[in-house]
Amino acid sequence: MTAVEEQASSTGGPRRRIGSLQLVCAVLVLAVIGQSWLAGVLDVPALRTGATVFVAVCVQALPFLVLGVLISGAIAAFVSARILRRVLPGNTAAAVGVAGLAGVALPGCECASVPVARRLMQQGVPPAVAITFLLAAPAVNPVVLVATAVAFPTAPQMVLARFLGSLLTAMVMGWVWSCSGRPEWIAERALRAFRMREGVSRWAVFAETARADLADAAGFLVIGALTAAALNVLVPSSWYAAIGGSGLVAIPVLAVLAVVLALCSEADAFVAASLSALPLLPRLVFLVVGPAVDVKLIALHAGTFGRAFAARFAPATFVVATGCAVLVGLCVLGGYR
Amino acid sequence: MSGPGVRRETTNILLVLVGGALVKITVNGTYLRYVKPSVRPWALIAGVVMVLLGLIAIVQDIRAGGARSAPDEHDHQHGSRAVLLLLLPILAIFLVAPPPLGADSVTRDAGRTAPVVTQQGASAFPPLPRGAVVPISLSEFITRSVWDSTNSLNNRVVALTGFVVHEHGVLYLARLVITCCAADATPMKVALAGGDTAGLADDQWIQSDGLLRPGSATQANEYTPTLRVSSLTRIAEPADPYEY
Repeated sequence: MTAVEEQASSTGGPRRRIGSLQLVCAVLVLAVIGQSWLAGVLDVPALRTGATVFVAVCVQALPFLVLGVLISGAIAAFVSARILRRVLPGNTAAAVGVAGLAGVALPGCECASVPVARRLMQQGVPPAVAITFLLAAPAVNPVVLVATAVAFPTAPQMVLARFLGSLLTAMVMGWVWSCSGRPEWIAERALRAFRMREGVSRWAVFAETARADLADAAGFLVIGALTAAALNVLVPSSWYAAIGGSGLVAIPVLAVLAVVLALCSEADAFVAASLSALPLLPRLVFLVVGPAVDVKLIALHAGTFGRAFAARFAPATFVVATGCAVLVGLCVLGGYR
Repeated sequence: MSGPGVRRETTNILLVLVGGALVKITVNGTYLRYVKPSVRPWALIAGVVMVLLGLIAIVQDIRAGGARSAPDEHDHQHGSRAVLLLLLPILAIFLVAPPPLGADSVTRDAGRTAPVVTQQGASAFPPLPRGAVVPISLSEFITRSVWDSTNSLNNRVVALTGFVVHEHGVLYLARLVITCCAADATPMKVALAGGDTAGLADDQWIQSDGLLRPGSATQANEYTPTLRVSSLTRIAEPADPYEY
């Protein structure tokens, strides 16, 4: 596929623009013709498992992404930059706090908050505030907290610890960005102000914004789903065995596991609960890191805000989330247990 | 993923196809291979919305006389090339329709098998329903075999449904539990003893009647109880392959 694209792009001019449509049609026709061959190739146990996990992550995440782009479209069409400025405190540090708590109101998982955060930036909300919302929304909303309570019936303090750990992560990242973040790290197209054209109805703006956001993000969601499926097949068995009898090593191992498994924030609590051989603290780290940074989100962030942003944001968030989870865990859970 | 973008028409067609794929699996029921039942309305709505967003843009472009005068700014014309990757889920759903997770996931996830309810200590469970044979989910069977202080499973014939897994020379009846989607599946298994188990291949779905061997679920075997099989029937794969 890449070879065809490169060939197409090197020809330049109008032929290149015909390329993508022809490519899609050619792939579809070839796939239909070779359907039985394709099914045969995929009939290897590991590939079959991977394909199922891939489709599962896509089917699970697309509704949330669609919810996100609809909210984003609604903000673009109906909420002017002036209204947003009036609602949010002028002081960025205070606005970060408001944005963190506002995350409670978006009952989705992490895919929904990415297009919304970008739209907030485009409408003139400071990036630090939008980043806080981006990190808080998937982790502190009621659906996720209830799921956590159901998954840990004997340890209700996990709900409070998760709420505080994720909220702290989101706010610290917001403050870190307002102190040391640079606007040029965010791709220019992500920050470009939205211009409402004369004579176009608000509903047309709504539909077009949602469509464009969806087209921007969906491809990167597929990259994330592919990565998650590959790691799901390749990683677990050896890792679960390795963390069985380890002590403090379990904290970094579970933090990395949260990144590579890329679970939905509504499901990760149940996976954490099933790792019952481990103490609560590393499992809290798993729950705080997962919704903030995972392979699926890194792909989405790179596509939405640019690679320069993702390359800095992902490691910083990983460190901050792990640190906040350990800190909150030591206070709320009462030490390493 | 930089460089020349993707034509607007291509993007619209891809959105319509992905949305159509979501609608297809939620209507024909194969979505149960990938996600839990309660996702159905959301996946259906998302599919319809994607189809509509694509169609609205296509209709607008046609009415405006081609993509050049679309309502968007010119520099928005070409989206990211990553959108072409949407071909993968489209092809996977329409042409391959991957099967539900099975024996491969159970053997792959060895070491993560855990009783569904990880409560501390035994407690009294409500009595099992009356009847000669009690149909019971695998998760409830395992939970009761480990935690039930009233030993309600003793001397009761139960009917378990699951697929066959061979591991280390032992034959298991297994099932996967999912919370949201197949990516978070956790395996559960029960060892089968006795019965006509010759010639059973991995992933063959079976219904097995039998009795719990008391005390067979121990910490040493990761709480895997043993069922003494009295009868065993091969069945077709159920529409709803997971437990929740």
